[in-house]
Amino acid sequence: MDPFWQRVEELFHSTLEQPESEKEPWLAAQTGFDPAVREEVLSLLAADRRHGQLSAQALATGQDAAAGDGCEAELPGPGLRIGPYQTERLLGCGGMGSVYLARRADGQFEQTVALKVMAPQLAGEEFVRSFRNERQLLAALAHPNITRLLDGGVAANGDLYLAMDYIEGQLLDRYCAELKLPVEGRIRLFVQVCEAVEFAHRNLIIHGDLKPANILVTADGTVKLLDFGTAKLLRNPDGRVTQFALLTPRYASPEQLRGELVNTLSDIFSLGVILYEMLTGAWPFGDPKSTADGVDRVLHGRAPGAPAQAVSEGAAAERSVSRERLRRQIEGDLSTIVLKMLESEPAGRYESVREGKEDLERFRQGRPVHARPHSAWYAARKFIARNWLAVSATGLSVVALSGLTIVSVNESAQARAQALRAERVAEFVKHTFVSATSYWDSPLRGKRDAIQFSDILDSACERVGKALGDDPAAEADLRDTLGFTYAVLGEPAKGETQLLLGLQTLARVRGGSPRIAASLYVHLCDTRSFQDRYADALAACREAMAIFRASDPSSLGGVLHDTAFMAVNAGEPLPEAEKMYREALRFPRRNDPLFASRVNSRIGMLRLRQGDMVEGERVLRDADGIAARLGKRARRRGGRPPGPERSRASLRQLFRGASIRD
Amino acid sequence: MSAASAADGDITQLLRQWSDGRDEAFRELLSTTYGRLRLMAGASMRRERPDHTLQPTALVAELYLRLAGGKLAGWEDREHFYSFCARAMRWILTDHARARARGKRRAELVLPLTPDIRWLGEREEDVFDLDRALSRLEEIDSRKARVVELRVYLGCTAEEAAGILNLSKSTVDRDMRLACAWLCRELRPEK
Repeated sequence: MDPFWQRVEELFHSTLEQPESEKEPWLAAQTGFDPAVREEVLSLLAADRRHGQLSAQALATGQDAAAGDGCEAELPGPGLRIGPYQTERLLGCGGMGSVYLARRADGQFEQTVALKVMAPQLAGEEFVRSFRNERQLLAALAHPNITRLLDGGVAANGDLYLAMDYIEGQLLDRYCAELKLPVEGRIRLFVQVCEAVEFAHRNLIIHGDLKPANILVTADGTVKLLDFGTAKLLRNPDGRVTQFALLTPRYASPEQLRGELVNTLSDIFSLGVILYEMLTGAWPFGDPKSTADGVDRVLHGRAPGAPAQAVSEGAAAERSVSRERLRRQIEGDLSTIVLKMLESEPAGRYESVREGKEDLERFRQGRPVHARPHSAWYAARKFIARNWLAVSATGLSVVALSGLTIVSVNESAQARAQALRAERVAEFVKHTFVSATSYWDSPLRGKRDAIQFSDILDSACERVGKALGDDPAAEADLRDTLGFTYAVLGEPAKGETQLLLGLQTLARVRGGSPRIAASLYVHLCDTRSFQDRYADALAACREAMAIFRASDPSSLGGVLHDTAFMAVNAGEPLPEAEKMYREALRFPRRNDPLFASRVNSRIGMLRLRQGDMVEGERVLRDADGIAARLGKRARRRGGRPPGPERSRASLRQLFRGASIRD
Repeated sequence: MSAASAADGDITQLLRQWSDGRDEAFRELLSTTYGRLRLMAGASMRRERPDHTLQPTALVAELYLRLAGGKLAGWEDREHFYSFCARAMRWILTDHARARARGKRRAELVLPLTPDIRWLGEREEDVFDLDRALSRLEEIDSRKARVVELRVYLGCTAEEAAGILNLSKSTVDRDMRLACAWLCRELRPEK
């Protein structure tokens, strides 16, 4: 930088700091011998003032311009004949063309429509395809919350047009703002949006560009969805967003921004952004106009801010409540719901729009919602989730030790059963975690940053007696969960202690509680088998079986299976075990379609081990058939097969003469 | 050269060379990105509301993902990268304005305006003039030209520009103030 400019820059800024009347004399004093510098600074100061004036003017006219649509100059005016329609006035310019208010001009019948017109050459092939899509898709969609497509075609000049119901309404965000709609009213509107999207999804149509500018509300409060312009057919083999251009990134999901395949889950994300804004008045990812915030979101998967914290005074006033009250309304379940929609990983979101909508309805009715908060205990839950894998591995290794390699058929059934249990454990962990960190005298206090899950369990075990001493049934129930969790985390001995304590506690309950007692014994059996103590495990199983026989014989299937399994491993006579397996078949378990197949494979193995190769093979083939059918069905539903391939491979190996380890 | 092949090898290299003053590196970077840039610039022709001026974000994100593939770990690389995006944006918009001036039928491209220079873009020739004025400013004071590029073409806030250029926010504010006056004198001379 040359010295002249450096001097100019210095003086420009220091002169600006002087009071208005002293600027020129001050500058003159500083530049006594250098009129060129003075002239340059004066000129720039004049330009600075001019810049200020022009900016102020632009701001004023800019607001005027923003009120109009600013697209008239580019597009043909009203009074056009397009197909059988006569345009009356321009309603607006959309991403996909301009929209006119129009009337049928062929005298067939009186009808006012919204006419969407697009010159194909302006947009190119991509658009023409998109336009054709819209025409086909919209025609198929008849729903009270979706604008109806009436007609569509190509005008004489080659323009493409779509005629839709003309809806007198307001954009969703403006409607909410003008009525100062409280949270409850906003949710009601949002549920309607969900219904429309859900309907579209059921018809294999993804909106792909959901945003408040695509949602109208009529005077009677009915929501109308517009513009299925970027809609993609689910059955379209190439669901990729081909044109980045057509997206509105503010509402687009991370996967859309990355240009990946879109699916119904992308729409759920967009719905989440819309709901977040409706509730809080803020964008979940910071400042929607900030380049850095937008980029950060795409590149680093920035997590949305806590909704309750995003609320401003102004936003609260627009929802007719105080800021504090709005925060309280949004905190908790409502935040949980909206954040579940906004999960950056699609798999973390609601599986369908319907699920999200139902949670909102539960919230409105004051019932517990299904979404789980994503807070401090989330880490603990993930921890468990990771350890479930370890558990599966443990389970499998037990199986492997026993030589029954074929039972890997059961992997997914076991995983399902474990997932069910995981739900319960997670529920418990939530409470444990929350209370453990909020009691000021908790041993965990001060360890906030380095909390170990085992610390929490230990602390919970200590607290259980004190906290629930007056409710032995609840205490026993909790110790049951604690015991099982320990076992799952690889500390079966500790788990066993808790389960035995649970049984002791239960003795204080009048009449006992068969459900809890049975569960304690079943888990006791698990913890012991995890320690390879099969005889002890068998003893626990027999207790559980006795309870089931007396209280709930229809659920005997599982426990019979477990008892037989333990009996075999404990070295009991095989015919005894086989009898139990055969009895187990009479009590099929709900939610466990592979149960019969699993039991049969066990029976088959027992027959083989008793030297009955013919019957053994037959039963195993049956078991394999069931598993294969289920696998096929699961694949048809798009899920993962429950592992029959492995069983078939084992079968093949078996009958090729591989030796059966014992 | 395809964008993908550039992503694998030399994007970081090119960015460094460019910021070290090798102008051809900018051309090479641009040639690898041009198709994508045009498509995205075209998107802004069909924008309906001001809050849809998303191009800067989209541009940076898109380029980053496609070209850099997240490999720009160092802070310096990021500075170069953002500066490149701003320059690329400038190039595209100016190129487009030039074609328009030559009478090619093209829809208007809108500058992603910074609130600091609200009057910019009111005249059709502004895009073209701004480019020329910035080239002159660059000769006098290249840092200010860079600040303006980031703020005008990428829509960065003062804080963001400060972060990218490793300056204090007050320096960016002062630079912007002087640059605005200077640009106003160039683009809106007193009659």
